Amino acid sequence: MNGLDTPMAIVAIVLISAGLAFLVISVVGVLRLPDLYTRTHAVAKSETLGLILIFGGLFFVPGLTWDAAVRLVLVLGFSVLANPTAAHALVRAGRESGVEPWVSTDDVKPPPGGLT
Amino acid sequence: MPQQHSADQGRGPGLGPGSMAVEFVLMLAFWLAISGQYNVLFIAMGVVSAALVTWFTHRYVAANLGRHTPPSTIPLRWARSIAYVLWLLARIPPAGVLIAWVVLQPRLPVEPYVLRFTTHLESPVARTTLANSITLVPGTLTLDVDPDTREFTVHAFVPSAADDLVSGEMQNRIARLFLQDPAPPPEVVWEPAAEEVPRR
Repeated sequence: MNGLDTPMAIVAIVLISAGLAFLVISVVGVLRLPDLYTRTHAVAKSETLGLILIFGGLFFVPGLTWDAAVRLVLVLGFSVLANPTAAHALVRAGRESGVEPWVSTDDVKPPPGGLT
Repeated sequence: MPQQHSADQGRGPGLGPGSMAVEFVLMLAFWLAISGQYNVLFIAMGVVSAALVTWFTHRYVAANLGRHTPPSTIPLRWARSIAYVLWLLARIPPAGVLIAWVVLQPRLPVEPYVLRFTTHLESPVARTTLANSITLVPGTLTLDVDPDTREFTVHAFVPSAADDLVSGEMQNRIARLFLQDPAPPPEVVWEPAAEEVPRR
């Protein structure tokens, strides 16, 4: 009927859902991880994967026009370049203002539920 | 410094108005392709944006345009670039899953390390590619690159995330891209110095 039960649409739904799951996990990471650097890992990285999955899914959405597909590729390419650049700017700024990386030792494990 | 040198010699488009025009046209084309709106307001905003971006960045862009690229090597470099991008994209899902797995465990077994190594990559663009690739692949972040000593400082989420750097594989793949010879694995300094060198 609305085209949501075709194999293409199912692939799209699966990919987009997986992408959203990674975005949610990156938020969980930001909340749970101990310091600036590890949090940047979570936000920049799970997000990269989440974006790739969501955009991959959007390609399978029924009725995608040709010019929209080109635009999707351009936006994805831009995000994939901009994401690491922003992450680097963030951690470099942290490093230059003297933020010490959190270190895991055997006696200091992060408590369940993460550090605040 | 090498950039200024080559611009002074006038190799490639250099810093002249020609290179600015090229960049401006590319930026405007990107805007038009993305916006898909072809009325006066949107095109005017595109012109202003493209002009601003060109003004801010043409110094960096022009410095790297058309340097050290004999035309005969261009197809090879394109082929290797595409192969490299595919290799890099294939690294992202497993590493992303690893981070998700660490984050979701109640114990939160994150084991961050800072590692330093020196790269043999000669061109600034090659080192930028390495720095961006390190940050793009989940689990490693480029903290700093020393332009003089070529020393990279990298933050690793867990030690195994840095495997491709410790083995030198990523560096050597980028070296191929820039038609440079591969080098043996770099000497890596870990911080905090682990008594047992991090599990690999």
